[in-house]
Amino acid sequence: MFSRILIENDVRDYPVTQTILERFPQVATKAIDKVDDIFGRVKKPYLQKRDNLQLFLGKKRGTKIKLAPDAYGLAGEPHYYFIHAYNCIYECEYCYLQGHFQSPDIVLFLNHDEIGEEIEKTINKNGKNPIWFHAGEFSDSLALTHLTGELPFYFELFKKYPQAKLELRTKSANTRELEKLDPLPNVITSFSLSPAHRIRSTDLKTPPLKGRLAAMKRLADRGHALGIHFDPVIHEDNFESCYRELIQEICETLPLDSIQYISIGVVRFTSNVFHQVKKNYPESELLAAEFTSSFDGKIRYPRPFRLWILGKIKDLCLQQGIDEEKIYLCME
Amino acid sequence: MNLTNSSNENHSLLLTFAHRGEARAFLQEFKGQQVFPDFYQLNTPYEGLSVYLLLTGEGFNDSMATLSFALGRYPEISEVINYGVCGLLRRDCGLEVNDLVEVSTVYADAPYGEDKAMAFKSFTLKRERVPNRDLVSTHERVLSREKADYLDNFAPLVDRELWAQAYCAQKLGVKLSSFKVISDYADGEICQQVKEEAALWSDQMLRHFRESCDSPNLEYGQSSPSYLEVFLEGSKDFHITLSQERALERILQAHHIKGNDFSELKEKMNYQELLSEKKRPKDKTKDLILHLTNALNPLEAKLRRQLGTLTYGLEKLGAQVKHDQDLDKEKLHLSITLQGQEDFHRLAQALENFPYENWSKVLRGEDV
Repeated sequence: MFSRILIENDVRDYPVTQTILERFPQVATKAIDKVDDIFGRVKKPYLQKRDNLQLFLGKKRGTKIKLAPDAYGLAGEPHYYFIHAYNCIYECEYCYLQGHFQSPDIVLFLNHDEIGEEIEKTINKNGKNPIWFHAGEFSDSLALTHLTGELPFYFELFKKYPQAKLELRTKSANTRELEKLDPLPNVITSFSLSPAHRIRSTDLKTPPLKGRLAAMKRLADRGHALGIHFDPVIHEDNFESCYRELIQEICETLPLDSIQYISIGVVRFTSNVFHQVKKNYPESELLAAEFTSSFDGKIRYPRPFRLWILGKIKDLCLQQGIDEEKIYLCME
Repeated sequence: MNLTNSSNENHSLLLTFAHRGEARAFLQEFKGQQVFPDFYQLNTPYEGLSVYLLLTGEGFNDSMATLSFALGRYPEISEVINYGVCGLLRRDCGLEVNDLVEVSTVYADAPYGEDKAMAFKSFTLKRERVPNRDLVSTHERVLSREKADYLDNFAPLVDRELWAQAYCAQKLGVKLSSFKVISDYADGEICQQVKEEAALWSDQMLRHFRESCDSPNLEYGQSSPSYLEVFLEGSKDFHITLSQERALERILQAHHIKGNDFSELKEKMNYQELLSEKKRPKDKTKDLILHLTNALNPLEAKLRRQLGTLTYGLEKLGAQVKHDQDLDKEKLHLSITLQGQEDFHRLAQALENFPYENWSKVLRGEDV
């Protein structure tokens, strides 16, 4: 999986570092001073993640928590995301990470205690008011948790603050570590879902729909709270029937009360990311669509289409008996 | 490179080497004739291919200057292949001295003396084989283990020229690939073996070039026809401007990605009828773009039709109606010339009757 592991001297003696290294005994390692001395210093082509992917282990320095943009989650409450990793093992053709870091190498920050301190400070500043924290803005929240082992730490932390919610965003089916933990009502695992054929053609190297639904079922059976992101929705001629089938399958697999919310968002790109998609995936179906540059400079379907798409999926959810207040439109 | 292809086109290829020693076997084998200092035309057996050879000299400045000059002097050169030796920065990367590797991405260190600094810009080279490896070009020789250790964070291979050549090739829109023989470990020790082995490495590079030339799977200098060329099949019925050509190419590529067969597409849009219409070639081109766009995005075509129906009352009066180009905003631009009270009255009536609610619904995606 990794061509080399570069380890900051500061984290060399962390137990989790040793655990990770034991999982990759064949991979060459190298000691470094700081991740920032190397990561992102040169423009490394995104598709090198296929055959020359390096893993960095280090400490997150500087800002560890950031205020999330508008419409990031359920409206009316502050949303933050915390940064405990850069980049992802999956390869979704629309992924914004293509244009974000200038390197596909994976960075795992192991100083969760310091990230946790900042989370607690932010919660305390907000008093008893509801507040959200999201993991997975720059990485998948679950995909590598069997290596990194940070979930118990965050569960313990959020147990103390019932007014604070933690969202773990994922496309993986790697729920093994999560299943070992007692569920908390304020820790929600949210899965990004698309029709099965779309996952196969666009979400490269991610688990198939069946695998994700099975993982969701396992979590629901154990009492974990779930969220769903229909995001990004990609239009195709039969998209309505595809999403009808998908929503039906979800409702047949999961008890509806295990789903805390469903967000819907239509595919969108910054111009930089769109340029990268064209470069990295010139044969992608995404490029056959008619996009326009919309009000905020992002590349999207024309407004009537995206509103129509959002409305259609919302209607399909309502038809299946999902409460309207659980549905929100993302980044629109 | 398939040099026995059926194409009648002639392709020009430039081989670059930093030193004469690296190029020795090529100059002997193909009886290079000097055209001007350090620039040769090779006499190869490959039909339809002109091969030139340039000795760039060592370092960024020389290689960029000489390559720019050669490509400027011979604009017909469409591809450059760099051959040469390089150093190995890392001992645990599965490579050894005497290996020949293809370079994937080339990086560079920062130009002016900073020990731990890199140029951000990198270049991805044309790749034909795997495995391939990254390389970092340095402005100065790597003379310390510390420097080698820093550079090794970015790539396992090091040379003095390739980044400059990649920069130049990209600026001039010429394809570049690079094959390097690993000569030594770049850890500061001057290796006597480098000089002794130079002749053998030159032979090794020549063997690689010849094998590539004989491989039926590789095509240097060949370019596949554009989607538009395939679609038009040589038709001269259209007058296509450069921007229309770009638009058509993009639309046809999108059809290709969607798996739409061009013959079926032509049938659906009555292409033969379009060809036989008594219209000016430039009007036919506009129609062609419209038909192909509508076929690609039937939903958008439907939306435009709906909007057209709703604004028909205004257009009937002679008004030009324009929507926001991206349909992002609910706005309408009307342009009309009014003469006399009757015109004013008719326009007022048409605006009164304009189905605003329906129009707004369409733009909000509620009635598409």
